[in-house]
Amino acid sequence: MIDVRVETTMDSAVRAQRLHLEVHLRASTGITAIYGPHDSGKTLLFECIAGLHRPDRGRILVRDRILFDADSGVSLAVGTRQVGIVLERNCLLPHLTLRENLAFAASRMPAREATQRVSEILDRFSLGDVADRVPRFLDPAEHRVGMIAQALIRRPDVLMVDAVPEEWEPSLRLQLFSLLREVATRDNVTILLATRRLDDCFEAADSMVILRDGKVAQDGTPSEVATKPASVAVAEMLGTDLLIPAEIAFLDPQNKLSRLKVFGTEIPGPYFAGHFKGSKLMLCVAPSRVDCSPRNGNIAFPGHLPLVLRRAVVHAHDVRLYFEEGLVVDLPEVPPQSMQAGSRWQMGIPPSAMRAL
Amino acid sequence: MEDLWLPLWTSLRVAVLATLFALPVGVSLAWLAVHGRFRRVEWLDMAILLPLLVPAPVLGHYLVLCLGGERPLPFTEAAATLAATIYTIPLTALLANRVFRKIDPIYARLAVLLGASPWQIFRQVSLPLAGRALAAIGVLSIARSFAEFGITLLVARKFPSGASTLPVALYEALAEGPDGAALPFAVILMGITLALLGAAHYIRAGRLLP
Repeated sequence: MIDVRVETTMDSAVRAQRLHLEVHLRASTGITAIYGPHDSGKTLLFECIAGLHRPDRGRILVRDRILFDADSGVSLAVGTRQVGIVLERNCLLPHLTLRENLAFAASRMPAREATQRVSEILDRFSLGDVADRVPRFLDPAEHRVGMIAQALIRRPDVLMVDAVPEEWEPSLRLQLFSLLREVATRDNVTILLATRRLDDCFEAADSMVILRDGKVAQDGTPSEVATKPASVAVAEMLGTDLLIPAEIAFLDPQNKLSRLKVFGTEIPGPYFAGHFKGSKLMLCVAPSRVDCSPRNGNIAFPGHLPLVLRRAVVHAHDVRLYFEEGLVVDLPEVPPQSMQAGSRWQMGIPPSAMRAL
Repeated sequence: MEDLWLPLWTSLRVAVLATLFALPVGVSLAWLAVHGRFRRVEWLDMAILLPLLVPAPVLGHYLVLCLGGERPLPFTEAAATLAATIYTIPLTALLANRVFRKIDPIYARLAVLLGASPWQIFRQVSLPLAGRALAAIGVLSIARSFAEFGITLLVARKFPSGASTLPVALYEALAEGPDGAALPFAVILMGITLALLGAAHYIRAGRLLP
């Protein structure tokens, strides 16, 4: 169990203003994905936990052990925190063999225990055959597993994996996630996995935290977060739902209905508690719930949104339609004549599929 | 012929000894300037540069003041070695600084995360990664020490044995008159410098050391 409450500021690598990190994060044994774009504060958060960066305020607890407490001035040294990090790039020390790299990580242990631990961890991760190779003769997956083994050598309570290289193929990613799950279960370790890929959260994590501009935008299980984004910003980051700007034209509390004005057209909607006639809101709709079809002539079906196609991009398994109104929809197949720019389409949205953000 | 061999042999001995002193000091200063976690690290950079900018007679003068008086060091081989060491440290530090800055910082970061001490990082990470380049710097340091003239002229112009370093001997020969006596000294100085420069290049390129 890890409980991190930190506040700090740091110069940002990619933008003019400083990055202000203000995070409260709780994670138990298992894999928690820290999802966020570049420069959202993931690495800074890891540096605070590892002890490379001293937060201005806050407290870091790992299994009831205080690693950092600004109020009492406690800040354990980097090497004594029982925290492992796997950096984003493969970076075992290039002049040492894999075995020597592991021994380097174990150098603070008594010599006999260190030797035993290195052999044990090489066996466990099936790295014995490549143990005497220097990193340039390891393949990327062996190198990555070697880095995980190196981070685990001192039996950390928390393992932080700073992203999986973007260029890795899906099968390789799945293998790595399966290894991390095994580590989390067998070693009773809390694993924090920083990632910029939503797929990684679904494939690897038991829970996820969305980090945006240094703050937690939402947390929960990946499916909870994906189906119920807490804000427009989160929905935009996830990119899984359609976001449609709307204005309430009419509210009927008795029948729990409303009429919404969307792109100049009125469509039926559900009753939105806490909103009033004239309120502007953002509708969040799962793409799987909408009915998108070409229309004949100018008139859309009653209750459907009329749309105009800007362009269509054909992928291997579907066609991505970009509409003038800013909506993007993927369909399995589309008649060729309806893929031309300017084609007229319509979209039906069941009121039960609408959520207001 | 002895007029040539004695200063040559003296110069080589002084150059190697000076390098043995200057290399560890210069490399350590360079590493501290790159990885040191203390405030005002730029002061260290300036301190390294200072001996390069101050005229040699000024350094020599300070050295004479420091070594003078009752102590017997001036005008000995030890004084010449000290002069060459002071002259060589800035070059060693500047070159080593460049080498350490070229090493991907992720390795030092990884070592810190693994709990390594600064000494471990210096010895087990930075030095091995910079190994060949540092060997080349060592060779260049020998060349630099071998060529030292300005400070030596002030602190060790003539040893009690009558010997001096090769550049000082060249200066003395030139001072005696333009009769060509200085030419062999100049040719040997140039030849050895070129040989050491070539060796440093080959070491850096990985052709002399693995």
